[in-house]
Amino acid sequence: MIADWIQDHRDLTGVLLGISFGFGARLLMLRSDYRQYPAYPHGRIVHMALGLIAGALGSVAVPALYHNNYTAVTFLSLAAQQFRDVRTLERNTLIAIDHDELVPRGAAYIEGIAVVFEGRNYLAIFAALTTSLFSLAIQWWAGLLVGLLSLLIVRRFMRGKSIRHIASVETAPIRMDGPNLYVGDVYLMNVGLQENREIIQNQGIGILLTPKNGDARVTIANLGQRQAILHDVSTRLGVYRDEGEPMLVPIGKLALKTGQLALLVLPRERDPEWAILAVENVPLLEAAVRMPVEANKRRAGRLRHG
Amino acid sequence: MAKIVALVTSLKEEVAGGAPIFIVRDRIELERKAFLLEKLLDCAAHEISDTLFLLVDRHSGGS
Repeated sequence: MIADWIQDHRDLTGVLLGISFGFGARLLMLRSDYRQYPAYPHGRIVHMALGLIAGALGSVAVPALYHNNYTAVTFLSLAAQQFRDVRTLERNTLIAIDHDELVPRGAAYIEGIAVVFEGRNYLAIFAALTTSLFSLAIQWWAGLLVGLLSLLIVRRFMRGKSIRHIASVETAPIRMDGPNLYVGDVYLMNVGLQENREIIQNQGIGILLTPKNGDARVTIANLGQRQAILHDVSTRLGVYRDEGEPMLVPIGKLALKTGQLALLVLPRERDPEWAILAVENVPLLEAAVRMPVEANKRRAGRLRHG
Repeated sequence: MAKIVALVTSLKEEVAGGAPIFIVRDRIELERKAFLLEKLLDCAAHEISDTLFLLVDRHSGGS
């Protein structure tokens, strides 16, 4: 009986399958992890609703095309407009709350997060579109299979690279030479007050990032990437800092000669192993990734633009 | 660019110029005053020499 119903309502089945897989894909990608975002119940609802809309838009387009209703494609452009607004929304929210962070995320990290939010909606559309397409073109079970496959693809897209892939991370001793603070051999700053020197020595952890190749050297030199690392470590381990304590601030400096990045972090929980893990798991920001090696490899005549 | 907000010194002849200058008697007072000014002004205190502390504002752009 159910089989008969499905045969009678092929369009509807396709659309329903598409919506559920599109929505499912968005749910799969909606995680509140250590980044603490979206940790707010209402932020969550906003994205679930948009995920549902994305799924509906993607899956409805297919039967419309099947019935020679080609203008339905313009529907998708409407969706694109909609999701660009999502990016703006996320960016504005994050910029607004960034002023209140003890260790701010920084513009590059915020931009990265906002782009991810937009991109995930497109992935939801993609899942819905393919599911709906296959269930209409072949049968409902084909749609089901392709839907599951698209969830796998979506998962794969979600996994970006992290610091672990481009640099080796290790702790380095914090050394005070009079007022001058070093992590390893890298000079960080001049700490005037005795009290702050003691806090930094007792509470701080020195971390040294050694880039694995030329591309990595450029990437970890990026200020946005550096701020993202400091923010993430502070989120995961807490931060020993307050407003009005200008010296107690996590800071990163490059060793210009070697391209190593020295970090001073001031975690609330002083656990070097966790600190290393936190640094290793920081995502690479799209804005920070550079590939000079790749760029210079191509011969001048064959450079592609665009 | 960072801005010098104030100087604290125990050696009067060492300094002159535009920023407010606090002249103190000895090293102990030097450190105490630098501490106080760091908290009051929300500016980082840097030790330039045994007799001179700078208070530097990094809020207004750059680091």
